Amino acid sequence: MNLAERLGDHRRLMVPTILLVVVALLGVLAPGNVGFIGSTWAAVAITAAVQGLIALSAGMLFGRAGLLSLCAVSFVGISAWVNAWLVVHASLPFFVNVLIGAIAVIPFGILVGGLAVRLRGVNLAIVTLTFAAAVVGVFGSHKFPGSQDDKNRGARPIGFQSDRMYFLLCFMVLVACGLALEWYGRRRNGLAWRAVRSSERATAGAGLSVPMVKVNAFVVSAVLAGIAGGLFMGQYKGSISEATFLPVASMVLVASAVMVGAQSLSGAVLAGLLASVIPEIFDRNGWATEYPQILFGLGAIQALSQGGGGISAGFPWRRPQHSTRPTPEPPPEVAATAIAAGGAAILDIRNLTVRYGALTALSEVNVKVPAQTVVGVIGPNGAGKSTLVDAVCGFVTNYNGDVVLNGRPFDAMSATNRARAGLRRTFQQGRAIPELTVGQYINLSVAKPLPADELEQLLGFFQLPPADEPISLIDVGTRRILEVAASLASRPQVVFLDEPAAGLGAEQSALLGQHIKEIPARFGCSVLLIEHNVELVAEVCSEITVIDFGVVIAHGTPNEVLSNPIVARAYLGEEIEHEVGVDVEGALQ
Amino acid sequence: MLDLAVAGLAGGGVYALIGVCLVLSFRVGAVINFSQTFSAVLAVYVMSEFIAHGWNQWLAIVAALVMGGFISAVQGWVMSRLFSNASVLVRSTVTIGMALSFFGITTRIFHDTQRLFPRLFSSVKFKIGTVTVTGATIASFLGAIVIALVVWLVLGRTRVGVILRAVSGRPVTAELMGVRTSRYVVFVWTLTGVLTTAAIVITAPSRRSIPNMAFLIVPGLAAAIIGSMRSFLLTVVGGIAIGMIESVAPMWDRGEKLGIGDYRPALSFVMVTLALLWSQRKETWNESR
Repeated sequence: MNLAERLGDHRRLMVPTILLVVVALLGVLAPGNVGFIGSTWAAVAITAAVQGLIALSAGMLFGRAGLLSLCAVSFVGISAWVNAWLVVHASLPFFVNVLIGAIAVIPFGILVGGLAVRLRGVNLAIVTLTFAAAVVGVFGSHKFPGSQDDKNRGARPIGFQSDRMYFLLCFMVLVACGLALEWYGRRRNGLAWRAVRSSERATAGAGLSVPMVKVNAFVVSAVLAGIAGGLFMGQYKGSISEATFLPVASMVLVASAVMVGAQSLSGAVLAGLLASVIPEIFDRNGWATEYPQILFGLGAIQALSQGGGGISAGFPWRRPQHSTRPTPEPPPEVAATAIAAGGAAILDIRNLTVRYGALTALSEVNVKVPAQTVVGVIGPNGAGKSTLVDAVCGFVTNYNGDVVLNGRPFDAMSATNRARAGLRRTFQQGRAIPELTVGQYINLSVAKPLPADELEQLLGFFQLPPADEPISLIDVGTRRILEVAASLASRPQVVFLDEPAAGLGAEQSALLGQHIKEIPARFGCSVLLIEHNVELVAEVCSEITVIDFGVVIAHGTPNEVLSNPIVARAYLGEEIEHEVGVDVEGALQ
Repeated sequence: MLDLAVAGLAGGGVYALIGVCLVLSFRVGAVINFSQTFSAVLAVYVMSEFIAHGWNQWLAIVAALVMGGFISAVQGWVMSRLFSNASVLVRSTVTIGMALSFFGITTRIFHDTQRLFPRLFSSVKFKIGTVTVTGATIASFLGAIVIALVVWLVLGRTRVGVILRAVSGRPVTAELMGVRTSRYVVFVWTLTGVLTTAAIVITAPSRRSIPNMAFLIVPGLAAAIIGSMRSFLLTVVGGIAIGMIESVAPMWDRGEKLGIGDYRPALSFVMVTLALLWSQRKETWNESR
């Protein structure tokens, strides 16, 4: 295995990173005023690095987790306040101060992240804006320690006293944080941010806890801001005032993060440069310093009108590229061992009743899923099929009745915990996340990443593209099959497939049927298939339950069910009564 | 204590009025307009320039209202042209960009210098018992209530109200039924622009600086959230409550040194948080199936 392969997905990051480090080193090491970081620009370069780090903190929340927070600068301020206090009252080493500052903001990250659990989207923006106003207000009465005297407290570490060296330090911290974020963003916790942004239900369906994912995102963002707060102290040599952390600063930051797309290292560096160099150029030429604000405001609007990726989405290393790996080979066939209907039930749904206000969506529904079989649930539109999945998988909690998996009652468990305990589902509307690769999406739904050969087999079996293919480049039908594959990756005991063939062509649909038939033998798991495609259901299921208006109207083998006149009437309406010539009323009684 | 509470009515009325406008643009335009006060502040500073040039103050105020309405109308037009299909989050983020731009423009032109703002209704002042009531207090307090009432009546009881609600609920359906959606959106933006400018005009003499006026959006948002972004009545109650608590809060310090007064700026945060947690207590998932 050569180096490029071992680096895997990370290799595309190397180009921008090496480029950045070389340019920065050249700037620092060049003699006298020759380097672009000559003494006059060194302070600007420090600002660029620190602002870049703050932009990374705001950009990861908006760009990766889809959380609009207007208090990024407040986290920086809180950490800077703690650092200022430490500089005045304790003489600890610089790096210890930075560390304490970063740790000190974690409780605030948890507080705001905890609010984000309920308050998503724009409500979160409102809360964080009022939080930012509150923090600055409190700073007004609790001034920054040491800001009232003119003492110059050397807050920089030994060896990094000069502006050049301090820039180097800040820049290295920025690069390290950017790479760490990139690394973390490819682990399950980091991938989960994108999942939460895309769909909270699908996140829970993959066995991830939505509250934990959000709190985790805020804590990571707060720590990045906290580190920046520590660097701030050194930048301004210990004299900071609350005016630096006005809510407007957070708004500028969010706008610039949106404008460039600062969720990645290269985007953050660009945001930092914009936030430092442009004001400096304006300042030096005697132009108004307010223009950059106006520029970022308009830039953000422009970026949002283009779909929100920001400038950095156009960087060559950020553009999705087709995989160069070979398509995974399909594994050898396994004889689909048809297990006779009527075996011991692994999943037992008893007397399930769901009411939405006055409407009874499901009434006393009983379904048994025997081990290692494929059973089907069919019914006309609005019959209550998806409500059944929602209730059994924990997305509708106020139901009556029992859900028992393997003898274990599930009724008190959350959707996340049901998924973890071996009950997985797919959704009617596609929930694959376009920003991820095929392999990342599959690993999102398993506690530990699948071993490479197992992943290869899974992809091969479903005839999916290679693991490093970006989902944004595959077609919608294949994405749906990918969702089925992902739901099986964790080796669940039962998987609910909610209309997996919706939107597939006839050929793809037949192939999917073949695959579903093999699932029990290959994955040791039962399937409950919900489908409109009656042909598909009849082909793959050993038993079928028919629901209409929330009531089970028929149950049995495909042949029994499909020849049942009541079923035909439910699907085709009253006319069937005369055509078939059966006494449906009598049969119903 | 009581006179402090009454003094709080003036600020509370302004918060309530800003809150009512926020609720209106959310209900009709499906956006949280963070830039609402920012564009109004620009209009109010232009007004102060007119007054400095010797204009009659009422003429200057009318000019400010027209300008506030016009700026807001342009924003509404941009919104309906570029972002009519975007999510509430994206649309609201756009208004953050707009807010920043207005903030930059206002600061650039007026440099945050001390300005002369007309003290309206200053001749009106009377006492009820020991409590002094000023004209500004009555104007903002009654203004907020009357406008909330009018807006509530128009939305709930008139044909225009029905159309506006249709535009907010199902813009495409409304369009297909022959409603010129963008026209109504622009109309609502104009209206909220005029009303917010009026609110800022009333409170300008006591706020003085650009950031102080612009960030009236914070208590305004708090009031709107107390009204769940839906109820005009609760928004008014919320805004007035915030104003009164803010005004009375320093009292808490006097007897015992609790130090709560120092944390008065956190009031909006605490109230918004509590109100949102309460109103969203049952919502679990961010989308339907």
